[in-house]
Amino acid sequence: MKKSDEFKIGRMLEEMPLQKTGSIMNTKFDHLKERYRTPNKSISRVKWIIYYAAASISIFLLAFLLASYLQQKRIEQLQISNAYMRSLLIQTLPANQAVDNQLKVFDYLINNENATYTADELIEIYENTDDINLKLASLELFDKFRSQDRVLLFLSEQLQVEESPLLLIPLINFISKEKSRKGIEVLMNLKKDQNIHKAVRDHLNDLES
Amino acid sequence: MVRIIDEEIIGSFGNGDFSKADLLYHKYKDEVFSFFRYRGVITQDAEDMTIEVFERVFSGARGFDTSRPFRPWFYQIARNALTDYFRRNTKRRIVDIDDFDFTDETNEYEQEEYQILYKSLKKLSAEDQDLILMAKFHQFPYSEISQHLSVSESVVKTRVHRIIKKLTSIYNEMMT
Repeated sequence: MKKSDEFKIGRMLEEMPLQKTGSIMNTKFDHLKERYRTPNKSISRVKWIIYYAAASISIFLLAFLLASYLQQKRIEQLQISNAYMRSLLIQTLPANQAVDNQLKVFDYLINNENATYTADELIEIYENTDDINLKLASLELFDKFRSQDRVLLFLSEQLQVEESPLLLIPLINFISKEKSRKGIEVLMNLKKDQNIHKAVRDHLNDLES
Repeated sequence: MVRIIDEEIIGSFGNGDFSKADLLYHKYKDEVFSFFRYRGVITQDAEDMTIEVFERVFSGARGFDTSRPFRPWFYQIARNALTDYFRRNTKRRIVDIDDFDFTDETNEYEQEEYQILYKSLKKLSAEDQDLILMAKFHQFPYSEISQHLSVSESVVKTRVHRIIKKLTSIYNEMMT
């Protein structure tokens, strides 16, 4: 009797009814299935890498363009600032009676502006000032632009019209160093001039010897 | 033959093809749901855990060795889910016998018998409950159980026999 009970219990355990899941489980499973129904995970990973790379390149490109734009803007601002500074200096030049101040302006122009522009400014200053010291300082600065024809021509002309021996001698030195045809011609004419100051004539003779 | 089909399905999951997921689900959903229910998990939690088991199957399919049988792997996943559940729910609700559905396939007398059987099962230790259910209700071969428990097949048979004897004794006491 007892054995048959054990047999019965064993059979009952084997035949215990399955507990049934509710219909909501099917819906939950469908959601789960949808989440996993991707064509191929390895492809999607590759795609993800491509998207990531594309996004990185785009961000890098945007950053580069932004940096270029900001740099260009800064250059423009500097150019505007330089132009303003130049204009301000030129405007204040006549008011700066001290030669030191005027030379500082020239230094600034030489260091910060292009050679043609600065040479033009120097020519203009030389022409418009009566201050001998300023003219002498300008002549020293002209040395940096001696390769420019306009400077040589201008100073040759000045040699013809200048009367002060204090300026004539440095002018002669400047022109003689260049040994240009026009310069030599001017110097020869100057030597023929009977009214020329003795010191200048002596200097010319020294140069010739 | 059936096993081969299961393993083929899992293999297709590994390749990203989930078109046969329904076959596997409808075959095992009540079985794994019952696994949780007969181990004392309340209905709602058992449903969630059943879905969780299938999710673990989907996500772990790529690493599944198709040369090995599917069912032990599947039940190992269920067992891990159950361990996690008991670890998370130390103060879990006690499952009432009325929560069980014995109405579908049995008459009134048998329903009462099953209720007493379930109550008797609950008097066993957790290890004994698990072993007897695996051997009888889920009908795992002794060879697979012995592999899982790392003991010989004869030891499994002896333990099962002893548990049935004990269970019968408890059952008879409750019947009287």
